[in-house]
Amino acid sequence: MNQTKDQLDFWQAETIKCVKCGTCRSVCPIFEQLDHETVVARGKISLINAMLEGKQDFSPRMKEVLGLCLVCKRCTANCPGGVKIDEIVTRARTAFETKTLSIGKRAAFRLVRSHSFFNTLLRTGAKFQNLFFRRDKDKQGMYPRLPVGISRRRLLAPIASHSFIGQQPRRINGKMKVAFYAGCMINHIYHDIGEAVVKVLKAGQVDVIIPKRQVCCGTPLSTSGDRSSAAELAARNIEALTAVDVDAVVVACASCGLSLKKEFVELCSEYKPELVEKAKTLSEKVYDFSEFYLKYLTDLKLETPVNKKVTYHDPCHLVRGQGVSQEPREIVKSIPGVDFVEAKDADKCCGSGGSFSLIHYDLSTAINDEKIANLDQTGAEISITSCPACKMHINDGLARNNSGQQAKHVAELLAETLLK
Amino acid sequence: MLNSKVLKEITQIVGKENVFTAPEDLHCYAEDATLGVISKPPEAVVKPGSAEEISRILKLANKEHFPVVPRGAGTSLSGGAMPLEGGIVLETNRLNKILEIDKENLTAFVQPGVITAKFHQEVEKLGLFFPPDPGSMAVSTLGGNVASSSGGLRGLKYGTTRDYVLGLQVVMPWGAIVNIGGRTAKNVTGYDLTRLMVGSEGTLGVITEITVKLLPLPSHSRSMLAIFDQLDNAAETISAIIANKIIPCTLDIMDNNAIKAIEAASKVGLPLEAEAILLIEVDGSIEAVVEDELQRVQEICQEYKVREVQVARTPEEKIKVWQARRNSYGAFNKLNNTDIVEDVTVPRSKVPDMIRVIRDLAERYDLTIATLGHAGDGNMHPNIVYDRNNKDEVEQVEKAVDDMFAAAIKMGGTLSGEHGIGLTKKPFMKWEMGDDGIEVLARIKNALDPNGILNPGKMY
Repeated sequence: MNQTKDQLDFWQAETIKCVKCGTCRSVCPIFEQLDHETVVARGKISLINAMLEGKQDFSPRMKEVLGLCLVCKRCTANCPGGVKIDEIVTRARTAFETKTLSIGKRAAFRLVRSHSFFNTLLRTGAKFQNLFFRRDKDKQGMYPRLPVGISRRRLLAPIASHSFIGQQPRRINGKMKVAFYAGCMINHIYHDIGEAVVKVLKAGQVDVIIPKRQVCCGTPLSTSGDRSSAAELAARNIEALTAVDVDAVVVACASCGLSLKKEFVELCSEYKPELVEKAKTLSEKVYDFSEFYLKYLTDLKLETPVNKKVTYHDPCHLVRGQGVSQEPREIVKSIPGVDFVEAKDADKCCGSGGSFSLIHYDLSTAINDEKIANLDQTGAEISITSCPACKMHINDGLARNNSGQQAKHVAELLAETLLK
Repeated sequence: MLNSKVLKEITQIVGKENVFTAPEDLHCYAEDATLGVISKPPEAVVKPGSAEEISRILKLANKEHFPVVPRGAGTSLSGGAMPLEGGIVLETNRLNKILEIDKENLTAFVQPGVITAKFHQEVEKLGLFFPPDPGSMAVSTLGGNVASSSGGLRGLKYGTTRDYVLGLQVVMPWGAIVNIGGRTAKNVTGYDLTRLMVGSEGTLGVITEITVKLLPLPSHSRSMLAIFDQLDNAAETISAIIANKIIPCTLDIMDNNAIKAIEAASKVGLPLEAEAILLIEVDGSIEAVVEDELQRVQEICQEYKVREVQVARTPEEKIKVWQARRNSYGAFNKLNNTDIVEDVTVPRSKVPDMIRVIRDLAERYDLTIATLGHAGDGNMHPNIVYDRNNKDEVEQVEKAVDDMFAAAIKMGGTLSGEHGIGLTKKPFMKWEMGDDGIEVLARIKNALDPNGILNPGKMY
């Protein structure tokens, strides 16, 4: 592994904490599908321990096994021994950082690294995307046309023709000033979520700025093992977000929120020690949208009732990554007319796992189908979540299963209830 | 040894997708939940989909002489699912259907790969009850439970897996598929082969179908924590509750080391300075009786100088504490890198003596031992937590285990209450069973499995 000896010793000690009790078998969405010892945390940790002891090669099978993780943190949250399983797995992926990745994935990561190029390319991509992707018949999304390492059956949301952070909301003299960190999915795909966040914040007399120099949060890189590149992005984000004088930084994506709150500090302590203090200062100011709303905006008048049955899906990186589960539910319940109903296994992964769903489409779909069944069983018309990636994956599943339900971000539901 | 011809035949039987030979897979299937034992990988992992496929594999194994180690969820704590001599690990988890729950006859028919906790949920939906609840029930399989006659927290009142198995379908080592026992409450036809198979640890046959008896689900239960400043007071309370003719469904004890580790892992609000805590649950179908028992248990605790009694007011409070208890195995590893959990069992009245013995051993050998146990049924779980890389300490652990087993047997107890003998307790079998007793085991084994293909090297 491309890490210092101290770090390796630390992670080796961490793998030894696994007592092989197998509790992870009861919570891992991937194990539930594959029912195979090698892919569950107990197996992976044992293999990684062997790797650290020099007894296990960097084999193709090893790489495959390490790839079979959604980083949903369910094993970690339920591990009686408190083993940081997801962190061990993503760090073990670092060992394969220099090995050949599949073309689609490698290209995607290269692009994320040079972010300005990524912006341009995505904007161009929006114009030419029909060359590479075909629209589905309901015009909800698109399927890849070419075998680029991404399953060709995957329904992806269309790329917007301009980036969200390119636009700036009109400044107001508000009671507070916040920076909105959009993240790639809102920036390039789900402008509606970004617009909803801005609308709600402004309705609450909050002055919103969208720092232009913000870049990808780095989650796709760090989870796939490229921690050094993720640290580069962290550094740029820290600079961009601490250069502005704001009271808070609001995030509406679970993975971005986890990065800003926790990962940046860890990445900096490994790769950019000079930025650790800044990263800590930043992390204290970061709020998930629902946290911020409940802390500062509850005096907002929600005028238009939503007379619908609504359920909620917990994004992994919000419920387990940030410990936020009640806040979005409270918001949904506070909306007039809403009949809130809890779904079975609401905190279980939707199967997205970022690029996981692009590479392991069948597995991801099987996990997603169960999620859709649980959401459907509630009889709800709307599934609310707090992460654009979950929204995309759940909408993909709802379309595939011909469900009448629709997935939305909690900010979108709130924005609808505000008077125009 | 598995040559390519044999492997090809196995593959033809179960299909390519159900045979694994990559070193990574073999590494993972070499282990179960047992720590401190060096694992040896099998040569293949095989996942058959029917009794017929298992029969064909066992016939082949007899012809070609390769070992077959049956495996459920791999939660054995005695090395029961660890292969020692190569061959194949035969995982029965594809057989995972609940075939029937018969409300009229209070029985159920299940395949071996059904997860214990999932089975509980299904029968409880119908107001029925399958009491065996091993600590690992969230992942363990019923097949594994039967093969090792698992116990659990409710053993005191309701007994263990052995008490609920009416009949089995077993693939015998030579490949015959036999149905033993039956589905009736009474059955004395032939030798009690069902009891022979239950707890046979995969050495006598592969279980492919299980018939269990069920009980009506008790409609009321109350649970409480009794916190003691003195370990001896807690130990005496256990005996006094039983002597007062109250049989709680659970009467568990944890000592101070266990309290600290469990609290550190689960943060359920256990008092860190208490010397012992009793977890007590009473249940039944008549509310007034359950409440009366709860009251009397509280009075007995007071008599033995309990510091505080906390009665769970809501189901959530109850679940929280039991969950913490169930997750204790992993919790102890926060104290050091290796935890071996024993399950010596003594007659109930000897529980205070056994607790003292364990405490003395910890002192004499300078070891960290965290004890919890189903004290009501005499089943103690001393967790010896140590550094497996420290040779001296490993030696001390071995000495302490020797002494612990000797003391338990002397008190009229046994090496294992519910984890099984497997690999780790095999060297001590002679102490309890004697040479003649072991010969009985050996003769049975040799009669049924003369080529020694099933789980070789285990038990005796």
